[in-house]
Amino acid sequence: MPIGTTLTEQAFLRHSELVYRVCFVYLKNQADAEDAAADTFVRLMESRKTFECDEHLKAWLIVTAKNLCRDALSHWWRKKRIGSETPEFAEAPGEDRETLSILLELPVKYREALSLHCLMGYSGEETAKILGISPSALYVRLSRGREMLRQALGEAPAKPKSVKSRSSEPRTLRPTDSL
Amino acid sequence: MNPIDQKIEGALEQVTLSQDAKYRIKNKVKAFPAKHNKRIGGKLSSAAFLSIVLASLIFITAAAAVGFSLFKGIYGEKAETLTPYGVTIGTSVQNGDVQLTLHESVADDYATAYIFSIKGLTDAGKALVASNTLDPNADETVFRQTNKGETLVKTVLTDNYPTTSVEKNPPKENADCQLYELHQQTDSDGEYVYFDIGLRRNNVMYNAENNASYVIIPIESLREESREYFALYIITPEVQQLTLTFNGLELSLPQATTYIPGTEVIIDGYIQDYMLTEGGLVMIMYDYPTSAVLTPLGLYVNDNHARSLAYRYASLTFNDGSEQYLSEISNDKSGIASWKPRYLPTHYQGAVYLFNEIMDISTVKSLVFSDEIEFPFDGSAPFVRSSGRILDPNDPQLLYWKITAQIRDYIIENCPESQYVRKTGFRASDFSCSYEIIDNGSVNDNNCKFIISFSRLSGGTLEEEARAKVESIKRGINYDLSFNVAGTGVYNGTDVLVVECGETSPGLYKRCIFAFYEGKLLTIEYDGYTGQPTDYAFDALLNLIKFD
Repeated sequence: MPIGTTLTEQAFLRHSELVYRVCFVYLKNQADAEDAAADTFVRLMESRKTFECDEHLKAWLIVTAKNLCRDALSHWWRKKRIGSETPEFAEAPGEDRETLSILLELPVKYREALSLHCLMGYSGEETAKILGISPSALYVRLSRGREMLRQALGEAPAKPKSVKSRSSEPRTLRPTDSL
Repeated sequence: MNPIDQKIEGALEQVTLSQDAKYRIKNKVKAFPAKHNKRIGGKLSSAAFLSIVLASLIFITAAAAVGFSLFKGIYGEKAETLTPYGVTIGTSVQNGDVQLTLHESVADDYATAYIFSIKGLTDAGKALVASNTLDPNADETVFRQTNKGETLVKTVLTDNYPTTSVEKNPPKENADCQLYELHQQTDSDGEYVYFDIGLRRNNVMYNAENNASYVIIPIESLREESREYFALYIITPEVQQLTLTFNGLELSLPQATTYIPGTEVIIDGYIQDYMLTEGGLVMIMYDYPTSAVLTPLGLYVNDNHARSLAYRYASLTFNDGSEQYLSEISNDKSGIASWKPRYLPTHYQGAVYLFNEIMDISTVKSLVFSDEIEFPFDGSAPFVRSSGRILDPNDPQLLYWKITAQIRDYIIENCPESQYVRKTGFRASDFSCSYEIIDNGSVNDNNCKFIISFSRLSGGTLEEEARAKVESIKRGINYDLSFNVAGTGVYNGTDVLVVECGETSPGLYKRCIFAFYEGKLLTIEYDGYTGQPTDYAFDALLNLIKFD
């Protein structure tokens, strides 16, 4: 796929809505989400990347948007402001509005896991890769996030589910290790 | 699909991009190349050509300066102020699969920060790099020493007394250095995961003391395909040569030669004055800081012991009248928030607050502990905020410390030469400090402990106050203590009471000496085995008292 304005335009046409949603989930307001979405496409123009397919491009956009939003959230001025920030979103049907409102109040690590997983329809492993965490960490976050949401919505708790362990080679803490 | 996931999907569909918003974003994106893609066409005059050559030279010079640029990945544009102190390193090693590169470094008197990257060169290498992606939000990210040697704990009965000794056997390999592996705990109840990134501390044995601390932060904004960037902070005092390792690759970390200047405030003496005269902190603060140094990279608080709770409420005030808690403006993850013990850098005595952004230290007015004790950076005297009282480091109330030192020194002087006394820490409940008599440097059950504490009075006689104190000790150790007055006398010019409190474990006896001192109850608790060599310590204590 060629690189340049054409690619950015194509990407914008296809994925601007998705990128904006990702940014909104992190930043919780329209203006900041728009800025972050614009920055994401600027990054695309600056990059000299080739993309194997549209899915590859989409994943790159999501990761870049996520990183930009994470950076924005880590600024102290934002941390200071966020406490008093009320999420803004378009008028939505009652139930969706309530779900969205609760979702946006979840801690960011649960919010991003749930949102990206549901938004993209990727498998757990793919979502974990995009988030840069292990699949087991993702499953834990998804499970806890769903439970928090379920409780906040006043629904019955789900049956406990075992959490998959990481398949590669992490070592657990050894008895001789001291904390 | 999970019903909750369905709800989330439905809800997120309500987040839509309006046509106006689309135009706004598009315009922002379009505005970008207009600033950057300028072309020069047509025939140039020699003057114009010369000006372009000059401009190019300036550009190259600027580019060299901008070569030190990756710290912008952490600090944004303000990182440019670090340029005069920054070093562009650019050393790289690789094997068939991965590449390890050390890019830049910058240092102040307390920390040296490096930026390094790992890059996958093959599919296997890319997978390795991907498996070394750190979670920036993990509960804990620390370098753990992995060749500490085996710890053996032996307990034997000697003359019916249990004796425990702790021995450390050398590790099977690499005993001539200290090896550290990076690991993370993603959630507080999750498992620890080790990574391939490590550090080797050269020229020291595996069991050498190490007061340095190592902090690593992933830099997501610099992330490239198959390449991860990290900032590594070496918090001094690191005196040994360090080597960065990754999957068999090694790079020596160069020591800094240029340091960002900072400014210092002295805390020692002043904070004791506050603790002892204003009262409030006596109950919550068992250690105290001695000095603090502010640099654009962070605030470093030196401590007489470690981990004072007061840091939790530490803040900076600025010349414009604003104030911010250090927890708001510094990184409270990755091992550097001082007030969370598990995030503390290993062994570091004090606190390290690495700022989220480069701090212009000329704008900082003062350091404040617990919203109350203010230490100006301009050299003026520290003071109590609520009363305005200037703190005096020579306040006579410091006799509290002097008297504990007197007792400690007296015991050391009067104990056999083979023993010594070490301070083991403070208790939370009162202002108190604990000393341990150590036999030949090993920790065993023949050791004895004495605790010197001061507590508030409730208006009773010495015996009533002493009984109440023993009751509070009983509650603390959950053991049935007795109260038998063994003698009365005079100590340091005031009446004293010596009380036998009975056994707290087989053969181990608790005795207490009580006296009123400076409007508080002075308690000297002694725990030790009777008839053992360490009993000399109690004799030494009794020698201080003139009995009736």
